[in-house]
Amino acid sequence: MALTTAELACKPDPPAAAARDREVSAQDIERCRQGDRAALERFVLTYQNTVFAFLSRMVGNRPEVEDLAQEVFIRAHRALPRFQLRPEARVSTWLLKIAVRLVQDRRKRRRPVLVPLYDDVAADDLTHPEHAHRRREIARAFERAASQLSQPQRAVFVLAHFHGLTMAQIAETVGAPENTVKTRLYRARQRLQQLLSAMREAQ
Amino acid sequence: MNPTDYSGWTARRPNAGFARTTVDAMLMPADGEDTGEVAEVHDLEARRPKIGVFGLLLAAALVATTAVGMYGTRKMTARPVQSSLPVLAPPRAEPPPSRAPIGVTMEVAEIEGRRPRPPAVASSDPAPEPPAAPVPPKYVHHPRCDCLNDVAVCSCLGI
Repeated sequence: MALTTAELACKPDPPAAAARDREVSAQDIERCRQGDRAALERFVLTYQNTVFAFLSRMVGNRPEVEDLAQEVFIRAHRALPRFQLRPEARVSTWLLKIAVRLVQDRRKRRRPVLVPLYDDVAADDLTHPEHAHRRREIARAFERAASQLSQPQRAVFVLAHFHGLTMAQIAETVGAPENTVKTRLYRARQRLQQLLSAMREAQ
Repeated sequence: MNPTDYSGWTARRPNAGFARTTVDAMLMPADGEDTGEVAEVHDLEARRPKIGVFGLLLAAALVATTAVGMYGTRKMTARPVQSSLPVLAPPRAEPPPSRAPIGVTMEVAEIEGRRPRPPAVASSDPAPEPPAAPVPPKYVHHPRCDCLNDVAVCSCLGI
């Protein structure tokens, strides 16, 4: 199965990509290690969107995402003394790696119910109820289609498409060979396209 | 809905107080009371029944293996070797020629006669014994042995 670069090219989610490009400084990391409250808050504020974006697409848009995101930051804080900030290493990728493992652990404990609830509505949606309804319908359709993917396929797809990680970074994050990641991404995209096309025809 | 455009798959956003509550949780004293440690303890507790069942299975397998091994050993030691050969007479050592009854068979007498005698040692008694009177050979019916030479146990040995 030959995968071209164009097939694997992903357009990252703008908010996630923006958060990814904004990394904390080495001084802030050092202050976080020392337990500086202000530095820790900056750390959480910098990466919370990335972590929430990944987790909500992995387990569904549910209130549980908040607990999982908090767990990611607590684990990261505990592991900070061992974390080495290298030029090629990004803190966001490291946090996503922790999030991937957390989702895997959670999956081992109990099977996730990938049914979105979408209880919370964004503030701008309240002013346009029709828009809000339409957006929720579309998001539900994506969620339903994504729930048909296996957990590894879903993780690879979300990391590639919404977080703009390279194949090597995804391979390191999910702990799988690069070729396996490519195959998973290819299959995930094929399957999603099939499912979404079928849904569109059904409407 | 474009099947190749995934921008409609929106993500959840953190609420305003998330960073503050998370930092509070991060700065909780790490004495095993924080959520991470508690989660690990819960994990261990969840695994404990599995560990118990695994241990029981291992112990049962060990007991079964030992029992089978002991039974096999006992069976081997209790079985007499001769019991499988009920018709065979126990092997008997052939009596030495010197103790054989005189003139049992002609062949024995002849072999005895041909065996080289040890050199005569000068004894204090110069007078040799007079030769015994020749005993007429007795012909004894010797049952034929059909056992092959390389047979390990031959029932004709005692004859």
